[in-house]
Amino acid sequence: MGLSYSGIYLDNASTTSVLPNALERFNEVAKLDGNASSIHSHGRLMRKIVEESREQIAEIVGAKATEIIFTSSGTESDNFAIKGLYWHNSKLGKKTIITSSFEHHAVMDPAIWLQKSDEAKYLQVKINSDGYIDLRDLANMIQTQKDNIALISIIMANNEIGTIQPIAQVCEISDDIPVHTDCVQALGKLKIDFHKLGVTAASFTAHKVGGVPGVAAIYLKQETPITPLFHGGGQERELRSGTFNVPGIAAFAVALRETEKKREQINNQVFQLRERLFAGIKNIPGINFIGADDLTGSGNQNQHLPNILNCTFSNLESEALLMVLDNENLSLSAGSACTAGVFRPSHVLLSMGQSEELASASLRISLGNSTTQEQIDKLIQTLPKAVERARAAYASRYQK
Amino acid sequence: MKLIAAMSGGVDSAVAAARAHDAGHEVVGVHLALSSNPAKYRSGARGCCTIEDSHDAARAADMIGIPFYIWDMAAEFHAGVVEDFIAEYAKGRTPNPCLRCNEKIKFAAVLDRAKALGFDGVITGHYARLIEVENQKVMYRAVDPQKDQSYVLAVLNQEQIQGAHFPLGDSLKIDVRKEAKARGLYVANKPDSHDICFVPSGNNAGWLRDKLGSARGEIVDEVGNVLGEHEGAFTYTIGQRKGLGISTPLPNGEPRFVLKIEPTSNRVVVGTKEKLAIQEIEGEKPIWCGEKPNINTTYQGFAQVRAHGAALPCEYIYDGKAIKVKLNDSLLGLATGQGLVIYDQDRVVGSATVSTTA
Ligand SMILES: Cc1ncc(COP(=O)(O)O)c(C=O)c1O
Repeated sequence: MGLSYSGIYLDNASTTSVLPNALERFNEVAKLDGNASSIHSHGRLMRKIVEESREQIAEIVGAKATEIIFTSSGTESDNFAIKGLYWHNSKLGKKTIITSSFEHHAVMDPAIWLQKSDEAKYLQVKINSDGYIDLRDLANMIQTQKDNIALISIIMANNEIGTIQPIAQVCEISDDIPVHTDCVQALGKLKIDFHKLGVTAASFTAHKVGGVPGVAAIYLKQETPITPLFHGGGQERELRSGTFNVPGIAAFAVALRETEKKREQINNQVFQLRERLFAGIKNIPGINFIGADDLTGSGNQNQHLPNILNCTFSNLESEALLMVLDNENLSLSAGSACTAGVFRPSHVLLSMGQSEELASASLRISLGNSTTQEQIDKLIQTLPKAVERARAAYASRYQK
Repeated sequence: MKLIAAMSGGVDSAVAAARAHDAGHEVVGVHLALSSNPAKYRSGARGCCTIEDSHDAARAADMIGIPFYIWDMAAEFHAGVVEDFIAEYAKGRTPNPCLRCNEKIKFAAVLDRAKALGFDGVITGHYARLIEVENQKVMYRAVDPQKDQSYVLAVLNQEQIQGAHFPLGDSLKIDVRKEAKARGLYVANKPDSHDICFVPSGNNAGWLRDKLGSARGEIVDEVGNVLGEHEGAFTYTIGQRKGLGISTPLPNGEPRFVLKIEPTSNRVVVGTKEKLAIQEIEGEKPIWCGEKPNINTTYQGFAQVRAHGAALPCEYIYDGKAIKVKLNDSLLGLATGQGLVIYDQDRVVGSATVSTTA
């Protein structure tokens, strides 16, 4: 198979295309010898690149450079936050973990794992039908669990439906309980300032903002006690070990700077395209938009990422719909996770009170800076027929 | 044509898909997820239901250069195959789940979904031949007598056969392996699967006890003398000799065989080898692969009662409900629940489920 494809990519929430300048920087740095931890001149140059990148990234996200720790993925950052904060705080008798009920699996699964293997008490905050956390539910949990809480983790912007959560208010009612937020989807779309926000920890990753996959970071507020996940060379101030991915880190900084510079402009452009898409498909019979209140017309952009549109369809399964769309050269996602390639009803939609049937019938359309009007129009034109086909498959399965 | 290739992750289905692709068809590979929890089914690269198998299928599709998807058929498989398997054993019968899988899953649920999605048919790596006669495909035994799988495909009706594609029917298995190697398919050396794919580690008896309980019962001879005890009659098969755990041999020192399983009294009846001999078989729920035979007309043909059993010369009659077979020579030990397949030389006439023997 050659390294080419002919399809239209509307799955930018899964990963974005690498920005040309970031790729150039990656290639430039990848040619250099030297391990950033070595004391010789080769090592020093690499170290310099890492630290400059760290400073640039820190500035954009409202953090001090020493509060940014590089990791291998958003998944690692999430695992580090959840396990690391839990391991430290459980030794002090704090064994309760609170998250929302629609976190990414990289947050939810470590918590479930700690519940099974480490006697953690895991509580999930309710989500309302519009896709926002129930702050009163959280306040109640804090009230009853108080001194037993190891950490609270609430996703900043949901990766399946794009709703933005009130993290500042979460921090407010959490007092001095550590709060972690998964900003993987929010980075590059929202203005982020961790100091202002008041979080203890935050995860974000390069490949969602035009960097290369395999590099990410965690923001850890100065002097936050945490147990490391990786032990070894102690490269990141003993909090994280492993040789620095210098080309990836350098490209991350370039990509984030560029994205930040054009943020408003791209958000606007993407939002307009999404509005066009919304208008073009809203009359498909049996379509239902998730979090739709924020989408239409004047659109409350402040509560919803501009690039994600999630909808469900009656009488079909995502499995068949995505296959038909792929057959038409349209690359999209259901948003929900797979287990060994098998689609599962979306836990995000279920948490919002959607039925199991509709939670298995979602389509997540996610736009990016390279999305064009022609691409959107192709989807508008193809989707009704694709839905019909997927419904025929559904009928063959369930309506005998 | 637009075809779905059902890809198990084994060598046969990979080569079948590759051949269809070479022949110019628009082929899309599909792996069937048959367990709601794939890790729970047998692990190790042998079955057709594990995570490794789906990975192998995906790699094969990549190498052939066709799109690939996983279809979740766990609910259909459970309802159509696993539950039937358990229910048949509970009745004291010995079912063959591969027949049910072909009848209810591969050439029903999968074929239906394929058609609904705009495809013309389903390709599998089965060894059987489909020969076109007056625009109708007719099913024949495979060229390779060792691999012939027409027995497990005899549950397909005429319409299902029209949607089936078996690119390997004219090939020998050794040639298919060679071809897989030549094509660079790394599943080329993967061993064939033999056991029942949803029973972990081939422990059929243990799995059945788990599902049906292990009520102790008596092992008796034909006149009712108690000779021993068992832990669940359904774990025995008619004709079985080993593992009976009876301490007293027959007076003449000959071994005993399972003659009958009585699910209601939970008894296993054993006796001498001669008592196993049967010459008449009745099969219920017949399925015809081609034209239905005339009612109450005697035909000459061959009967096959096991996946790799011999073709037994016989005469058969269809009375409108059941197939009645009279074998030319007697047969030793046939469990009810097995598939009875009728051939006209190499042509597959049809099949039924063995309900009574005499
Ligand atoms: C919200 C969220 N968290 C975590 C991750 C995982 O990040 P990574 O792919 O870098 O491991 C993703 C990416 O899919 C995500 O969308």
